[in-house]
Amino acid sequence: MAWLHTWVGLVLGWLLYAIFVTGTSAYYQEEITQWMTPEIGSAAVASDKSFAAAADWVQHKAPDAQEWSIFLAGKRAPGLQLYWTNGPDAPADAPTEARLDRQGREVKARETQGGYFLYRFHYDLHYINWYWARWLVGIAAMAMLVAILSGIITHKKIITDYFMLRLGKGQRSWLDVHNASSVLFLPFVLMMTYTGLVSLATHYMPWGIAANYADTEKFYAAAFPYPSPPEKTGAAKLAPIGPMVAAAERNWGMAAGGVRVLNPGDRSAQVIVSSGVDGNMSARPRSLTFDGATGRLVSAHDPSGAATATEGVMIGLHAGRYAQPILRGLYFLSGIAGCVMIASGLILWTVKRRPRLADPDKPHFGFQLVEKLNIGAIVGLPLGIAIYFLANRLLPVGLAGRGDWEIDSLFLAWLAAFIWAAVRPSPRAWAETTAVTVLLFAAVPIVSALTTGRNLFHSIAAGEWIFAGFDLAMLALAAGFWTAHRRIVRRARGAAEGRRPQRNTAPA
Amino acid sequence: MIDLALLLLTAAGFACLCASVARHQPALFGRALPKRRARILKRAGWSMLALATMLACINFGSGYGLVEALGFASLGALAAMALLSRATRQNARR
Amino acid sequence: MAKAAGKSVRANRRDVALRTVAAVPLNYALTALATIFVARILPGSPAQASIGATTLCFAIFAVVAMLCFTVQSVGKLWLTMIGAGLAFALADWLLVLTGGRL
Repeated sequence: MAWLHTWVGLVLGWLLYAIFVTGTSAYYQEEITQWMTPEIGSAAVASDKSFAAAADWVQHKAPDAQEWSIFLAGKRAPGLQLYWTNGPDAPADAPTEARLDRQGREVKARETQGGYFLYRFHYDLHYINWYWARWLVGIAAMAMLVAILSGIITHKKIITDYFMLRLGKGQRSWLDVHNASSVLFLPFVLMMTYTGLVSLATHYMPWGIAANYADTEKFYAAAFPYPSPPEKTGAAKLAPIGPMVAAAERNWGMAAGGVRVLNPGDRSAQVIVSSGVDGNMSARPRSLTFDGATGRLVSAHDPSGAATATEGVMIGLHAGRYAQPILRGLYFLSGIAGCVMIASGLILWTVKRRPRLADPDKPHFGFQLVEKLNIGAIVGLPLGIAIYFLANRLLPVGLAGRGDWEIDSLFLAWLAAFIWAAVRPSPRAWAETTAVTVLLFAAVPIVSALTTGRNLFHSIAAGEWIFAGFDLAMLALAAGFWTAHRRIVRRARGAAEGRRPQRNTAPA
Repeated sequence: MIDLALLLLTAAGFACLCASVARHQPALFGRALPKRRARILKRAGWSMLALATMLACINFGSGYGLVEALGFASLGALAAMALLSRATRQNARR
Repeated sequence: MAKAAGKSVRANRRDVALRTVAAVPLNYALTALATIFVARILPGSPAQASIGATTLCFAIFAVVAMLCFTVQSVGKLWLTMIGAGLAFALADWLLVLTGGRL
């Protein structure tokens, strides 16, 4: 079993690390998007006002639309997302979606995928077909579940007496870091792995549905009802949306997250208000349906059934959209602990094998490969993410395909880290890549201040906490990588002195 | 405020639990503690963890409270471990 | 002596390969059949039963995967898994045949 833990961890560790890093960033997805679209103000607006303004906007923009959907991804979201279906007379290339700010104005911001890209990457990856990407991610997650469970069984002693762990004790320290992060954050990592699998369960295991349904559509209609527009019965003005949203919010005692309008401008119009992501642990929303012409409440739908409730809470626990600032911070810190756990486990593979090498100066190919991949994967991804943020500020605002360029910059920088690791001696590559990462993260607030006029002190003074917090987080990341860099340099020096005590003339 | 209380409670709880284990006592106190005192420490540790969970559940509701208590338990255990390993090192130097 | 060692390395590799095949593809097939079985026998509406079984299936897969690397005999492991798979397949077939699907 110890063997299983080691090899499963090694083979899938790099992918798992990338999933954990980008997934952890997703706890601040909305804040990252807000920072990456600095043209939009971060002032909050009551959600019923936002929805009403968005409804006015779409009524103006697409008067013949048969259906609108307006989404607000929680109180933290920097704006609303709109989708609509155009009427039969509309030209084929008429727009069907738009982004509005909280005040209901069309967003005129730089093109970017923002935090959504990092979130999306953590299960759909990039440059490869999402269908196979999800399988890859699922295999990694399943392997992680097996690695964790087998780790628990083989290392029962460490868990029952975790205070045997000693932090900061010489050569054992990578093992200690791995043990401490694994044991202390075990509930979190285990929960995330299982609930992550559950989030994409029907992708991996469609047979549970196939067992009862020959037609998958029928399952979705039964489990997650999604009404389609009724027959039209003649023109009638749509009642104001704002009061319906406000009534729904009073009814649930939490903010609304979506409004769907069927047949707007018709007597048969329906307004379906769904609950938001902030107020409820379950990822499955509640909804109220209103008569669109009169504004009267028609029906209520609450997710029911023990299995739906369990599944909804599992997915909700994974995404953490319900979490208030402190709990969100705990999620984020636990996520970082998960990243540290995987990274230290990968490093441990080389640390354990180094003393057994025939010639430590010329390790065999497999050892070198693992060490190089470790550098490229562990340091390269954060380095690429720093470049992603910098590209957001430095690429010309009007550049065509700008959002894709930002993403390409991330992967080019990540690739560069792999190449650098391949051509440089490993200890040097560790030190150099971490040093560059420190500089890049520290540069983000400075470059941002120079290019947008939003500097850290101004943001604090103006109470724009999302911008201030983002800048401070970049500095904290820079400090974290600086600590790692210092340790690496010191250890490399110590190892070099330890290995050749006689040759005191050799320059470092 | 409640968050700070949760962090302190979980950290103190785990520190007590650690101090109640006979094997760690020489490193922490320079000697083994009497059995009775170790038992008190153990009970105090578990009580503090239970109290933290209860406080969180009363304050945030049971589901949210449990998640928050678990999150703080990890953080508190980390804090306790850092403090204790520091104390151990200082004792060793003395 | 060296020959014996080489042989045991090869035997060991074959053992690991057989266990890996049992733990991944064979395990997936077995878990899928077991999930269908659970989805058919869980009480409540068919949609609830399907969701419940799908939520549970990862636990089944993880436990079977670990067993694949802990049981003594690889031969017995394969026989048991194939036997259990056939039993589930037969039960699933009968359940769908008698109950039908939506």
